This record gives sequence, structure tokens and C-alpha cells, in this order.
Amino acid sequence: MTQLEFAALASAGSLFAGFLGSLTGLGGGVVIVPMLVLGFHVDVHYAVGASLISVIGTSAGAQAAHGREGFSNTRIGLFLEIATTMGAICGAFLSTSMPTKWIAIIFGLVLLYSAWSSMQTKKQADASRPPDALATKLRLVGNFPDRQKLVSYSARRVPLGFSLMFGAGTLSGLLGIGSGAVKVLAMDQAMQIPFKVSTATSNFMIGVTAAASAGVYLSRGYINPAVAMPVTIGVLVGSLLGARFLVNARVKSVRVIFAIVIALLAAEMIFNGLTGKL
Amino acid sequence: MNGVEICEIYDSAIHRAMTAILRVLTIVAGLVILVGGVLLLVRHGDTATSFYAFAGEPASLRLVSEIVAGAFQGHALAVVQFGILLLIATPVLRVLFVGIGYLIERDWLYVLVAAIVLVVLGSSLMGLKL
Repeated sequence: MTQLEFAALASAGSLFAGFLGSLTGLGGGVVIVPMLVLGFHVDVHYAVGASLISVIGTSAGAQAAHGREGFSNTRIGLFLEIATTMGAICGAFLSTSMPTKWIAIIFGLVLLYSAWSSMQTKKQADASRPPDALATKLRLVGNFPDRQKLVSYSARRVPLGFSLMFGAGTLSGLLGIGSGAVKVLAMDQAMQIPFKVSTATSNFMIGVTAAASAGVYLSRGYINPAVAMPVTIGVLVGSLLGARFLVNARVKSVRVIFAIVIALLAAEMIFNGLTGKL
Repeated sequence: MNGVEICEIYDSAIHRAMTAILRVLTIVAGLVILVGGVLLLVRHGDTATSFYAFAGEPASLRLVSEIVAGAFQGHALAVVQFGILLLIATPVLRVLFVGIGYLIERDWLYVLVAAIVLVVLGSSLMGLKL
């Protein structure tokens, strides 16, 4: 394959991935690594590095296009970024010493979880319970408009959420994904922050988390510009297009199809990891 | 503690200026990557390539000083890598700006939180050996 062919095909694939990722809210990052590894036979480390850069690009691009995320809570996001950035550096170092096949297997399992969690119906956390002492001390509270009235909320189980966020950061650094699904799990399920606030805050955190591991990747020579260039541009353009479509598209069916695609990719990553084909 | 989010400085002039800076930085980073990519494909578009074997990038594409030097000499891969560096800098700058926002509000707890995040980010980027 020539440089031009690789760039054309990889950017087209990434554009599609970014488009679907932004339409479904799963992020384009989850399918970039399988696409590069299984479709283009790119080394897993280079693929993860390129995906990580595309995650930063998508996050920065979305924020440049929309300004501040509607319901995001800056204090909660910033506080939890202590955990995600430390986890991300941890994950980046793990990735440099972990055999390729293990990375592929863990990637497959995380993909399966993402696909499964995207199919669950989210139930709103009960905001009426009394606030948590530690959360009050750290001022992890806020309010957001819901059906024309302002609903206040307060974070709960802060240590549990913080630990899960460290895990989300580690996965992000190890696999080059935004790990939005795990971040939302930590905020929405563990800390019982309303779902809308959790997703918006997670989007705000993804770029910062990815930047923490990107430094380690770059200095270790895991960022190959010829791989990262078409991927980053493709995902960025695709996700901006996806955000435009979001308003009037029927997302439900797209979501189901994307979840099935992700589950199939997960199975193939795990199979190839187990049989040592990577 | 109601209305915490509302008292934040989201609509002040300084916040608008910070948002504008981040937006410009993101666009510039994207354009630099695009220019580097065009240079690469114009010069080496028909070179056969494979990324199957991991070799690790040379120092010229790993160290900040050499990436910047290479980019200004017009080496295509270094230009792409320079754009990637600018992109990595965007979220770091965002955290710095949020921290400045809390400094203006005299919210010392969150100035500290922002400082910790910046130290962690800095320690990662230190690996870049400036």
C-alpha cells in the first residue's frame, strides 16, 4: 500500500467512525483501533497512539464548535481529572510493557462493555436525597434545568467515583480511547449525578485525560505522524458532521447497529489476541 | 450551595477571550496537521508503506525541540507532529484557564485542584524532554 492509498482509506474509515461515534454518543475512538489493527494491519501501539490523538482532536473540536457543554459541572470534572490524568499516565506506562495480545484482549472486553452499556436505558438518579458530607465539603454540587424548573443535585460516594475514574483514565491511556462509557458509569451510577450532567461533564474531561497519556506516548515514539494524520483529520470532520445530524436523525436504530458492529469487532480483537495473530 | 454553577464566570469578557484562544489554537492545530499531511502526500505519496512492525519513532519525531526545529525546516512528518503537539496543548491550556477562572473567584480549593491536574499533565509532558 502506498502512503496516498493508506491516507485516503484510513481517513475515509475514520470519517465514518467519527460520524457514527458522535451520532451515537459512543465516540469514534472505540472503532479506530480495531479498524487500523484488523483492517490495515497497523501495529497495536501505533494504532492506540493515533486513536489517542484523534480523541483529543474530537474533544477539542466539539468544544471549539459548541463552546461550553450545556449541563457540564466544571468543579466535578476538574476534581475527577486528578484521578483520570493519574490513571492515564499509569495506563500509558502499562501499555509500553504489556504484550500486544493482552492489549487486544482487554480492548475487546471494554468494547463489549461499551456496546452493552449503550443499549441500556438510563434512569434518572434520584436528586432528592440529602447531600453527601464529603461532596458538600468539596462543593461537588450544582443544578440544571429540567422541564422548566431548576433541579439541584449533589455527588455521592465520592471515593468510589474517584477510584472508578482512575480506572477510566488507565483504560484511556492503555487503549487510546476516551473511555466515556466508564466515566459516565462512575458519575451516573456510582456518584449518582444526573445523567445529562454526567455525559456533558465526561465530554469535557475526555480531552484532558487523553492529553495526559499522549505526552508519554509521544516521548516514547508511539505516535507515528503518518498514521495519526489521516485518522485525526477523518475523525474530527466526521464527528463535527455527526453533531450536525444529531438533531434530526433517528438515533435509536443507528445505535443498535453501531453496538452490533462494536460487539463483532470486540469478538475479533479477543479472538486475534487469544490466537496470537496480532 | 444552590446556584454554584450560575455564579461562575461563564459569560464574563475574560471567559469569552479564553474560549476564543482555545478555538483558534484548535483550528491552527488542525490546519498544521492538514498542511503536514498534504506535504507528506505530495512528496512521498507513491512510496510503499507498512505500519505492521513497530519500530518506535526517531528522536526527531519524539523530542519537542527537534519536532519544532524540523517543522520550521519544512519536514512533512515534523510538521504533522508539531500540529499534534499543538493539539495536545489545547486541553492543558483549558485546565490552566479554568484554574485562572477560580483564581479570579478566589476559590482557593479549586485553584489547588487545577494546580494538581496541571502538575500531573506537566509530569507526563516532561517525558518529552524539552
